[in-house]
Amino acid sequence: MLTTELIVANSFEAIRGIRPWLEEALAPAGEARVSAAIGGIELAVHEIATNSIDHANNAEDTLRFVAETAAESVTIRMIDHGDCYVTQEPLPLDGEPRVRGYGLLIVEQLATSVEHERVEQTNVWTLTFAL
Amino acid sequence: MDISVTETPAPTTRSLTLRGRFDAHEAPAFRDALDAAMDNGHHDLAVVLTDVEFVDSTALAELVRGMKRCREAGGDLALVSPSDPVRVILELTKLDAAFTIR
Amino acid sequence: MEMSTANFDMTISTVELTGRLDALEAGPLREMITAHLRIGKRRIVVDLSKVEFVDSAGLAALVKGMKDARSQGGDLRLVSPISPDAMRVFELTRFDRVFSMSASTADALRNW
Repeated sequence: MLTTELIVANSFEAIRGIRPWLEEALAPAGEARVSAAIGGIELAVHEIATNSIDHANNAEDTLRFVAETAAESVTIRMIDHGDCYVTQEPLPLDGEPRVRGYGLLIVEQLATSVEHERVEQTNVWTLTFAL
Repeated sequence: MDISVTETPAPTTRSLTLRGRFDAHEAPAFRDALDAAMDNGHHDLAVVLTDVEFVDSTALAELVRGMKRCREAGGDLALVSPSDPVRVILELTKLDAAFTIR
Repeated sequence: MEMSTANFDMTISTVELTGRLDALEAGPLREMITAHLRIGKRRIVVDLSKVEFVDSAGLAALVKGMKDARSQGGDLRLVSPISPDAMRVFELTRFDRVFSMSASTADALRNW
């Protein structure tokens, strides 16, 4: 199992570093699995990061990502140092166009599991994906 | 063979062609471009998404906002030739049913 | 992200043909369609309801026009021929499934 970390500033521009980091972090799973899965993983992690930037009032101004990649799955944690931001109510999927709130709904459909924990003064999001 | 041509007028559509990553960082610039088009009297917009490699929910929110504005003004905002990343997010959110997609 | 803007002329040009659409006539039709696309008129309806005969040369002109129009974000759509001698080539080549075909000009315009 390969463990890799990424620390970036909590800005929309800086979180673009997630994609190249994922390419490196997922490499042990092999090119075929990675190219099939990486688009969905990138989007899900990006949504969690954006959610944090929007809501967390992150005291330390950085986001830390840790990926643990096994042969057929990967667990990605994101840690921020912000306030506890309330998980939004999942929106009904009725095709009615709304402006806000699709982020977590998208993540829940892309990841095998999504968990949020409050650990001391940090938010820890744990996402798992099949590869 | 005889050929005769008739023209049926329709409002000019303003098209916005996007290339690259359409994420939260780009959302304000897109909103400005869209608002500028509407301020110039265009209520029929087409957003061309063939070359968009990444799109997230913030970008989607801007498209929804734009679509609602255009429809309220009696026009529409259509999505043209969405790339695969755009199709995926439209399907995940079921907004593929809400937009005009060409 | 790059953004570029343009105006699309959404005028629909309806081209009504009468007579025979064959090798002799295909050239002028193709040129007319090209001229339309060159000035930004990307939405073209070709009304074949009064055409007596279409062969593969005529079909080729329509197919090229359709591909060119679609590549510019528009389309070339047809009002179906009534004469069997005009419809036959579309059915044999299955291009009746590739073109958007309407029963009348009014339908073609309405569905755009």
